Amino acid sequence: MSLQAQVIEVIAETLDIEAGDIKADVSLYSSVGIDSTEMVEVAVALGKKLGVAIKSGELNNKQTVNEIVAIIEKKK
Amino acid sequence: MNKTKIAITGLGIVSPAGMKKATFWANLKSGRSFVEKIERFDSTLYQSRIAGQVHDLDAYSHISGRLSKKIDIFAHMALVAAEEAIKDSQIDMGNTDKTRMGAFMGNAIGGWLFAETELRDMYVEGREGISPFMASAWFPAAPQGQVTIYYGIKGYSKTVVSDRASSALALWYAAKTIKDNKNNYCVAGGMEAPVTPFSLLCCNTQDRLTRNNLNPKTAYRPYDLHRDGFALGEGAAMAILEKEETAKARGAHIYGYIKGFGYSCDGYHRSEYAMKPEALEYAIKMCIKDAGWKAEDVDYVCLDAEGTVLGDILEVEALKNVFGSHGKKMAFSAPKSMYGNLLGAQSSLDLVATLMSMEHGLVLPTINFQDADPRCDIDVTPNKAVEKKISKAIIIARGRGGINMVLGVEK
Repeated sequence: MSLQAQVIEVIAETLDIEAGDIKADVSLYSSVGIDSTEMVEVAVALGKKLGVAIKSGELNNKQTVNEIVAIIEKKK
Repeated sequence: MNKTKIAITGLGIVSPAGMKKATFWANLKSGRSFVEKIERFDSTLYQSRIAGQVHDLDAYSHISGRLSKKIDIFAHMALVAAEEAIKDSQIDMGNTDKTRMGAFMGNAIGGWLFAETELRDMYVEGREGISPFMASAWFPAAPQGQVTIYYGIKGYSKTVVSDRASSALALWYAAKTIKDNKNNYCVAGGMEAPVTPFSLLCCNTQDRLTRNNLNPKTAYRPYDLHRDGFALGEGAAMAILEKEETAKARGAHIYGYIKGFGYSCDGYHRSEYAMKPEALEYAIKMCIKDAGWKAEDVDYVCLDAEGTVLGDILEVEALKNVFGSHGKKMAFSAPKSMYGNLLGAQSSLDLVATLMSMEHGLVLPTINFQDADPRCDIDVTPNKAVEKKISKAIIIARGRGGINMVLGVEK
């Protein structure tokens, strides 16, 4: 599974939404209305699932999935 | 004096005795008990381990899984009850000025199911184990926040924490904001979810809960000689309030009117009542006066029914002192004997039961009454509903430390 697909899967599972509703190149706020608190939950879940250390504030809901993937790739 | 009449035009409930008004009414008039053993966690070592419980909230819920995982069950109950009340009122929410709509809610203990789980995770997994929604999920005003966000309500709103009298005061606050022309509509009521491992423990420390665990159906027996405290209950009830003229103009069904309110505190002890019921009498008289009634006008009293030896004696003494010989002509009862006391949500469910009693001309019973206590010598409508026209009623709510609230309702 690609990193992009993994990120989308974690976001969908964390928020209890359909993966198909998440668009990779649109901000998470615009595509699925993620608020800042949900984003904290997503960041923790991504860190655990992908085994990377994500600092507080490193991810935000104005970012797209692709931007998040780029941040995670740099840490791998 | 402001003569604006505050109409009640919508009702919604989440209760151990039913999730819809019709079911609730059918169950209550039959005089059945909905108190049962607590089995959702191991309650074996709790002194009181029975309660009126809501088992099927999800089946009646309209909210998404995404939202429900961010909130405690007490906010979920408030959302379900509010949805039902708003639908019942037939308010056109799409064409209502939300800056003139408020939410007033009563709660006593907060949302502990969410908090307990997260605190366990914090001590086991460390701070990153905690849900970021902890901060917005557990506190008593969380349901008010969730209901206002869900419906886009932006008017003057408030949450009241006043032990078992919380929602009585919330209802009155809501009515007052409409009277004072701060709001056009209010969603008002209360919600409580005390059947969790930690909150049940805290409630047990009050030493007011029945310990008759082997007989859940007959354990809560207010005014009976062998009473030993009340059974807990969980749930929510919401009412829609608006001015009478607004309700009539839009052809809404009016269940009744909130007419008066009385309040006092014993000023005696941090948790116990004063040994004389003067403060409760004062609150009852204040309510009757505020409603523009005389004591002789009151047809029905929805009792506080703490079910403790002293609590019931003091309540009856206050009622006898206020109503005198008229007490023989009026009706008293405690429908909560069937499903437990919902603490901060109790008065709002008492309001629903009282309004439905008014609609049907039927006084709901106080169940499990077998042996009369000579110190509680009023007719509490034992065990069986009784037909009676009710036009004016008061709802009594007391809280620990001698909080006294009395809500006056008229058909």
